[in-house]
Amino acid sequence: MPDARAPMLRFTFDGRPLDAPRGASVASALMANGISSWRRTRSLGAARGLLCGIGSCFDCLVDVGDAHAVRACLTPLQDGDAVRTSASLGSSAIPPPHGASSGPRSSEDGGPLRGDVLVIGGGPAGLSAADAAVARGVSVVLVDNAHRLGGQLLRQPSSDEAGGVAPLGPRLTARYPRLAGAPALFVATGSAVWQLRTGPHGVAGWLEDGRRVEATAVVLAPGATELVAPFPGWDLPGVVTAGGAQALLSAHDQLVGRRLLVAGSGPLLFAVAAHLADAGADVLGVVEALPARRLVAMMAALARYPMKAAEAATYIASLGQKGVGVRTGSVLARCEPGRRGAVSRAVVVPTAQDGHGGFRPWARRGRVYDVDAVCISFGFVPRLELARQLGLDEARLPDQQFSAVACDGTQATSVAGVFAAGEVTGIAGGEAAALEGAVAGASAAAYCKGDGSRWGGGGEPVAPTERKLLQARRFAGRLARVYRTAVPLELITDETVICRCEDVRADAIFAALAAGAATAREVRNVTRCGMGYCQGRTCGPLVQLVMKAARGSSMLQIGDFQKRPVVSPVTLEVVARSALPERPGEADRQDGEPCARAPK
Amino acid sequence: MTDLAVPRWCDELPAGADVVVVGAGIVGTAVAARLATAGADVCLLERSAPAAGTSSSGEGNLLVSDKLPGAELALAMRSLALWQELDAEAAHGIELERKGGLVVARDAAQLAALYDLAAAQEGAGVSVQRLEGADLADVEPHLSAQLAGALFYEDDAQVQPMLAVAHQLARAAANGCCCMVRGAEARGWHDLPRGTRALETTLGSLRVGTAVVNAAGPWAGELAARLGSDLPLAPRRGHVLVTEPVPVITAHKVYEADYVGSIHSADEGWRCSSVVESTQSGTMLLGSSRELAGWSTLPIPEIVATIAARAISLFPGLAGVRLLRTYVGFRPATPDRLPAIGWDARVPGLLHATGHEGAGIGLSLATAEALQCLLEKTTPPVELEPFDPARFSSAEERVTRA
Repeated sequence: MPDARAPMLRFTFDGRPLDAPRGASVASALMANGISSWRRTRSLGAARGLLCGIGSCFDCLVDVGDAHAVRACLTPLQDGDAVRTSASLGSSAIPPPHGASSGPRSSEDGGPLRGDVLVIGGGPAGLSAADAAVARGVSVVLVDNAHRLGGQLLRQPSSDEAGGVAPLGPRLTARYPRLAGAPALFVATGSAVWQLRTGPHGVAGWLEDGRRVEATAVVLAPGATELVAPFPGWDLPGVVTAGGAQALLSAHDQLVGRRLLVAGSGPLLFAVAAHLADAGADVLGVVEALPARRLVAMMAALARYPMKAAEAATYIASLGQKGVGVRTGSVLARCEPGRRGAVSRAVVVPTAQDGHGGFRPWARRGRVYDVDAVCISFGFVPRLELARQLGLDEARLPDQQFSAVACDGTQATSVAGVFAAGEVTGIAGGEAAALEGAVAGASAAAYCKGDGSRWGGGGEPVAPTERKLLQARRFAGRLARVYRTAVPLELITDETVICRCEDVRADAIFAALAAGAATAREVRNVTRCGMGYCQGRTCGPLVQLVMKAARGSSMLQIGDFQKRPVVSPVTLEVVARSALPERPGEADRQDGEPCARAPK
Repeated sequence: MTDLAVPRWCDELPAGADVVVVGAGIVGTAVAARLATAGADVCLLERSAPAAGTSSSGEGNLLVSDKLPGAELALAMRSLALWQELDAEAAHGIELERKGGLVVARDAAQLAALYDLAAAQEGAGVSVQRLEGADLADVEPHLSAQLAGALFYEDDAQVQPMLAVAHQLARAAANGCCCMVRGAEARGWHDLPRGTRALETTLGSLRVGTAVVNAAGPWAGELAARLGSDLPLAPRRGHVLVTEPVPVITAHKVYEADYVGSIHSADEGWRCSSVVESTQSGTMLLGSSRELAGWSTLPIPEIVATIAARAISLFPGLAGVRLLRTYVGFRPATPDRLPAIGWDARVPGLLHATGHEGAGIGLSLATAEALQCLLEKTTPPVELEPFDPARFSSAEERVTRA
């Protein structure tokens, strides 16, 4: 019997007894024990571990007990767990327990959760939307696939859990006091919405754990995934996204490595490098693809946004203090494995500007760093699975590579009753996300009340929020202009793996292009690129960028892998039970409780 | 084994071609490859991308088991022989797998009906094995023990249709007789002097020598209308669920007995009957539904749920397997669910090769062979009269049209 008072969780990995701090995820527990890989790919047999760290890429699949191929980054470690290397296969022999990949068991006691507003995503946008809606007197169901609210930017440490999972910890309670204990708020964490539909009676969402949510309006705030440009060795264990490294540190106080490089392009590099250095990592350098003069131009622009300038100054001062060098105009061109198969050497080469405003590496040789981890980031891609389930109109903001949900000034989308906020409407950062969330929550409340008022009455006035939002977006626009061309696709060689799920190498993609493939779907169909667990979340944007560069076609011509994606993998048993007994929202919401306060 | 050249698509139309094939799906590419290999002057037109429609939305079935004895079964058996030949020459592979089909009955009544079907199919030369009890469990150990029995068809096979289309394109391009143009959508046609005609497309017009082949799949009805004729053809929509990769639980294509009834049903509401199979990549494909829903690509939650539930009732071990993706596709369905292969009754020079419902992958090669015979005025190996598009010309047939 596991000892509940033990300070550490005990578990095994491939039979080896190990321990880990309470609150650890399977990924953080393994990494705390110096293990960087726990999956083998199916055709190449390559070793894999953590990549995105936030449940998006499915690279960190692991077997835990009876559950096969669950995401190590999202799965909480439990005392006595038998963790095993995954062969990248699910199991058809034993149905895994409910929520094995997603956390707490669902209440299976019947009816759907009901609220006026369904908010999907518990980051700054979703929390602010819930807050604004609650302030206007409507009921809210807030859903997030992580176990704790906060998303990536307001991530809560697992250490302040005092028994059980409190979705709204001290940090969020301080920021959103109205949400703490709000009777009209029901929070469902640890379970993703896998299907979403609208109808004449409202909106219905289906959760991975089998529950269904019905509401009058919905606010989509699923955020973004990190863009990682491939290079030889980007698939080695120990190469993680900058956001993933940040998440591991914020939630679990776990460093991805001791000696590391932070590379790519974008302001996140400085923030993550400073964070890692403060936590005691030996950050060997920050490698930014843009040349110094472009960064100087950005710093000049920052002067108009004193808060942002102060934030940047803090990071830069912190890096300077620790002696972390910044190499601008350079890219991480190659990573090489050490004896244990994980990344051990990273080669950085300078870049030159090409004729199209982009930068490409020009030197064969570069500086070699001895590392045990590398953090990569090239910006973000809006998560559009939910929007595509509903067939929402999309738009592309100026200077952004990827499309986003099109919204009007009230954050309303092209479908009535559906609002969107945050990175899903275009990459603009956490501050803009929170402001958009506030507007979306107010608009959704007004929609539910149907009283014709623009913001649903009550709560804080929206006009100042709109003014701040304008400023935040202007700032984001400036950043986007500075960083738009910094993805070095020239580093990709024939052998570079593009689709990490299905082991599809670049030569297969190039062959498909040479054979005339002009759309992303054609490339997928002949190569299997994008057909694995992550369904192209990681490789889809990369294939689009490669095709754009190779063929000169527009993103619109290239298109996407899928028209109507399933939002998140879900067991067939849950799918089988998902048939609607009635139409969305048809139940009479005027009687009884307005909001589901289902027993936890 | 031959290693073929990379097919090259043109951005511009040629001045003309003897045969213009419209649609680069499994049927159009099979026709183009066959005619080009025989030395004909062929132009293949595609408005979007090869295999962008029905060809990439199915399961790649090469089935004899679901065919009622008669002309369609004969066409299927001929096609299967041609697929074996194609597989032998495809250097890069088309993933042809002779996996065998298992048709399962839920109760004694269904089983009795299956045995009647088997007897009739055996008369037509199909190899069928009857399995019950322990024999069935031996062949399919993960199958639910609640089933009454099954028929096993060793000849049922599967192919990866996108690879097959890519291979056909490479064949068509190999000898230089076939010009392939993308982004050209056929709009209509007009007469030229000396009895020839020009096909109008979004990229301009081209002179047609002998024929235009309508291989537009579920859009073939619309194309026929644009070319001045009428082909009663509706898109019969279907859903497929794709799971995560799992250890193999069935090596066969397993489907419910009422699948056959579902194909041949004239019902306009949605029908669902379970089809379960593994793929070479480890994922499982679960089907299938049949419904008339226009061209909507939005999956219907009730149908997705029903497919999952029925698949679990066949293989209880699927309950814990995760769904990764769903997709819908459109089968080209005629009022009698038989293909339309042959000359148009009204418009000279228009040759149809469509209406294969859910069997187009399997039937494509024999269809292409039949078309070549029609063009060369030789006797086709399979009786084509039941597929004659002229059969829809009677007023009576038009009434039942969906």
